[in-house]
Amino acid sequence: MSLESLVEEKINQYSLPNGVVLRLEDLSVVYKMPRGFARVVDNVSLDIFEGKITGLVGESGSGKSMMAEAILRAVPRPGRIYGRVLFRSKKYGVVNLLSVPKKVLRDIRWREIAMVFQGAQNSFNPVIKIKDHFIDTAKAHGWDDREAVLEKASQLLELVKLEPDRVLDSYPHQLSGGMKQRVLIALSLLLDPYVLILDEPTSALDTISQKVIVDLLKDIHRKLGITMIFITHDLPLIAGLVDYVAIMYGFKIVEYLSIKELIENPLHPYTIGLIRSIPPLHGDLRMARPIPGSHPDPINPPKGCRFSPRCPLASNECFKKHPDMIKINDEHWVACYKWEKVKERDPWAD
Amino acid sequence: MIKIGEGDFLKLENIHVHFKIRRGLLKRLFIVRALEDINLWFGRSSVLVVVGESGCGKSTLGRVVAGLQSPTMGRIYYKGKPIDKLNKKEYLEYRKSIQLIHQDPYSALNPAKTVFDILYAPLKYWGIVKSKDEAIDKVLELLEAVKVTPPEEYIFRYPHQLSGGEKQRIALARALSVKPKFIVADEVISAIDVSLRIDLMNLMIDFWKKYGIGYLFITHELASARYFAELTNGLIAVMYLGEIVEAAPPSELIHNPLHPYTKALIAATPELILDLSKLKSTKELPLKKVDIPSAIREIPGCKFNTRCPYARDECFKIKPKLINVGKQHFVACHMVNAS
Repeated sequence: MSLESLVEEKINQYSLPNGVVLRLEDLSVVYKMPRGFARVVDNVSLDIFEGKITGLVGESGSGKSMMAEAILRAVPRPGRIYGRVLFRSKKYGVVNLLSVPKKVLRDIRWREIAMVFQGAQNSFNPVIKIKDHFIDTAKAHGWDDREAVLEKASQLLELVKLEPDRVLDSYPHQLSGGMKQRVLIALSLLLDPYVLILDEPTSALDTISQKVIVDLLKDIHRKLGITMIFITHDLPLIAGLVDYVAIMYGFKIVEYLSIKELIENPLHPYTIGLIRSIPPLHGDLRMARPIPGSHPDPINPPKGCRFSPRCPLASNECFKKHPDMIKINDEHWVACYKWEKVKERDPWAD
Repeated sequence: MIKIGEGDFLKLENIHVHFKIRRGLLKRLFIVRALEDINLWFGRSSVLVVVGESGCGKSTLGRVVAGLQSPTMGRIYYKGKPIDKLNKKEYLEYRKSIQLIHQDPYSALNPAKTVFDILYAPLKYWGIVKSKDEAIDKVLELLEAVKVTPPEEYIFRYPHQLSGGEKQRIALARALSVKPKFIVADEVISAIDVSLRIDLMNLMIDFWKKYGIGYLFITHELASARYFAELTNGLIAVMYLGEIVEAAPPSELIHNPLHPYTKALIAATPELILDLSKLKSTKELPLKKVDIPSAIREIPGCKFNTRCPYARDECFKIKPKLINVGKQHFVACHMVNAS
């Protein structure tokens, strides 16, 4: 029995609605620690829309990187993943990435879903040239034609606005941080994936390099139409790029909304606080203020709503149970008991 | 000379820092011009925010101000006296009154020492406390001051038990422990989340208000630079390849930038504009080339000419001077100087 048919038998049990390429169902990542169990991703359910760019925004330690790593089953040991990650694969149909055989997963990684990891600028092999990174990657995925790989690499490097001839023949240390990051984006596109996950791809870079990368991703998205998930703590950075934003707080998604809704109608007190906490370049500085308190600990998170200890609107019910996601409209979901109150009045007003 | 604030605290005159490096098989000699002709005059409780890309010399400037890097040319005056003419007591006072907070809070704190040890060391060295008991009170007080609360819970923790923001506060507490007059804060906010930056900046601004501590605040992020400078009546200086190319009060710099490089920085700074059509429009960066040239490359004329979209003949030949165009606004650009 071939691998494909083996998988086919298992996969027909799953389906995904049109326009959804990736669905997380009750996804959790758990670490066993001496002090207890740390649920660093806690029962997250989320649909990623096909051909759209989704920003996953949260503070460091909110679980956003773990969530992305769980999608590709790449969570560092000894973390355990629970739940389901349904993915519409072109080759295998709708599969649960958490239960497919390793061989299938390997086939899907990079070919269908590629990921640019955090701090990946340091993941180059310092003693081999950039072109060998492309060749080795292709070889690892069963593509042995050197000439064709280099041809494709040149095209991709041009796409990320680098000079192919110069860069392919360079060693990693000869490139600046911004250039390395662009090489990595080109490398991630080598096998024509149609989902690209980027974990903090700009966090170590200067303002100008950041802007270059964001513009580049916009350009790639326009040309290739691939689905992108952009993980960051920097909301303004991605505001001009993304179609949807998922706000993560305390290991859960607390609000999921289109960029239009984020601008016009944010409803979670945390989302509003986050927008407010960032000093504007041109606007009124008096509006900028921090969110009091600090992010919860994964081992002993607040009992009720994860944000309740810091929330100005929190009342009895908020301290009992974390709220479920409520659908506000076709492009807006929020997990808050007080969302109607937020609509009436700014929760952070004095 | 760019003068910041009233009085006379520290003056940098004509400061150059050149590093010699040898590269390649033939070990050819190259000169990295980390700082070129810097003239700054800090008054009492004055704040200068320096912005620029990596490699523009902003950290080197911080090290020169803190006395950790001697300039290869030029002079530094502490309260009107050249620092090489200070007697031992005056020199120690100079070193004590200017403290540095490093870029990376993860490597600035010794992982084998507790918070108490880290903060006790400078207190002991400068003889600020007599006994360990006194030191504990003092350390608790410092932790309270930097809002690491409750302090009793943190005093015997190790750096790995702290978050990035907390580490940065400990580094700030260490700088504060010797009651400095001036703090060089080198990229202190870049390693922490965007949403937590304002909290740390507010804390530092409070020390300026309460104790009159001056700052050299170094960052690559313009929106934070504006926030810090505006709330401390400071100036912002934009650096490029070792030189100050523009300096002005924050609102003037943001709303009326004159140097093409400052304009590019403003265009590149992301902003959450509450207007969807403006947010989605992609403006091209006003730059000929996006990448900063190598530090060892000799660039005749204006150093920005390789990336400047407006560069003309003279820009490739003559180096523009930093001139005062009024209202504390300084700029080094031929285009502006001509008009």
